[in-house]
Amino acid sequence: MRMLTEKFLENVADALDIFNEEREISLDPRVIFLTTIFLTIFFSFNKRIWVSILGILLSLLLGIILNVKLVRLLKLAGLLALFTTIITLPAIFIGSGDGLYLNLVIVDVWVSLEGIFSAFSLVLRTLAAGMVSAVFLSYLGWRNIIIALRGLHVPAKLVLMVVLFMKLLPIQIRLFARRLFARESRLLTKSLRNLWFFLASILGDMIIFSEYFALRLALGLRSRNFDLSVELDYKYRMGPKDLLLLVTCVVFVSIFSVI
Amino acid sequence: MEPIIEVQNVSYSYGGEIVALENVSIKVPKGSVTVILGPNGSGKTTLLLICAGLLRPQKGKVLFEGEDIFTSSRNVRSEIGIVFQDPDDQLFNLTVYEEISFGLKQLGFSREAIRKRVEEIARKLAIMHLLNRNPFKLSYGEKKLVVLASILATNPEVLILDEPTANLSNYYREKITEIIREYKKVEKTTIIATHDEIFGLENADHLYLLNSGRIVAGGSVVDILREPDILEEVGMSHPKKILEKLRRILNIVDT
Repeated sequence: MRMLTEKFLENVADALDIFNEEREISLDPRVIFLTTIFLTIFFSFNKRIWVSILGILLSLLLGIILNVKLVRLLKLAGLLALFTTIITLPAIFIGSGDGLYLNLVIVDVWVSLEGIFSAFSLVLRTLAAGMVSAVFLSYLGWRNIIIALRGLHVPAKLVLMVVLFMKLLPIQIRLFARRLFARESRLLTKSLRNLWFFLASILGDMIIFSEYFALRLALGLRSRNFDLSVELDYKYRMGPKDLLLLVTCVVFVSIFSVI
Repeated sequence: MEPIIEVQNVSYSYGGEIVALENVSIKVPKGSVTVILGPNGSGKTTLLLICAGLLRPQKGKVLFEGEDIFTSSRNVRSEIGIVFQDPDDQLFNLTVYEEISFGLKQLGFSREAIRKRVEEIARKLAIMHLLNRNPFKLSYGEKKLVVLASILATNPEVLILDEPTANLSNYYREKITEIIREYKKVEKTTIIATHDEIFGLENADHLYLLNSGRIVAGGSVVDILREPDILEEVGMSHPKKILEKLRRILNIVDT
């Protein structure tokens, strides 16, 4: 049990580290960021399953071309699929038309084909949008995301919050795992009820302490000369490659909106 | 000697309730090793964070070469490097290489200059083999050296170390002592906060004793050692007492 929780949390942290990579890129970070937003919105609002599948395949292809760590991308995809499936599960019980009755001993439930289709479509949409944005943001890396946001005149405070969020989340999940095991090591009872209460109480702890952790991280960043004004020294240059990327993106979205 | 950092009548409290520092004044001479000695919870970390310009005192001033650290137009922060007590608070990159190069990137160094500097520092601290490792998965001592390397990489004028020897084995302790001595050789300044009296007395040029947020005494190591009661007052042991304890242990071994 412990190994499973430990592995799960470690993999969640590792998947979220996809945005913490650092890269030297030749394209204008603002253009990549805008392309990301454009494509993410397109795949989020698209309702056709085959376009969502195309989005997933496209993100994998881009991941290979842009040299993004595929293992991290797949872990993130797995996480997205898991959470979206849990959220969309009730949808299979909604809907009319064809379906089947399931006799679950104490209750009969109606599972509709329409519901299954809606749930599946939503999971694929989330996966496509999430993976496409993850590929581009991972290619950018956290430092270039700051440069892109500042270049797009996003307020410095907001950018700092984004950076803190990207950096803090994996650290906090690892800390969460450590605290969970610390509690587990002090458990003297085998009662499942007590075990559940004892371990669940960690959530309150994490919420209360998250402010403190964020403060420590902010101090840690500042102690290492991190200052958003330094990033503003970056020279933004929009070249032919940037224009080509934007045009390709617009053409892609236009074609697949019409087909 | 001219002070490089001067703390003038500084007071600080957390949430307006817990008083961490009360009317503290210290002078840190340029090129010296200044040690702040005090028991746990005496306010040492708060004083260091204020000296580094990371915490703003509610009362008093902090001067860096005569200029107010919080209002100066100079980029004072880049001239002061601080190593926190807990290395986990300062590690946030995916590899040791990225950790060490983080500060250099902020200061706008070229890629080649960064590589050279990172390798130079890693070699000095004998952590070349860790450069591609994930810093979160290192041992405590290794993490501490990585943070120290990341701060030394930017070559700050003042190096601030918070409890540098806490929970460290002798190997890492010696390594840190070596760095402090090298720093002094090139006439750079070091401020150390510690509750390890032997380490403090061994390295200090100037010593301040801090207790319950107040400076109890200050001066050279000889001045402090001449008055054993002062050390006792802040819960520290005089080296003579430590020696007595060691003798007793050795006697047991001999008999």
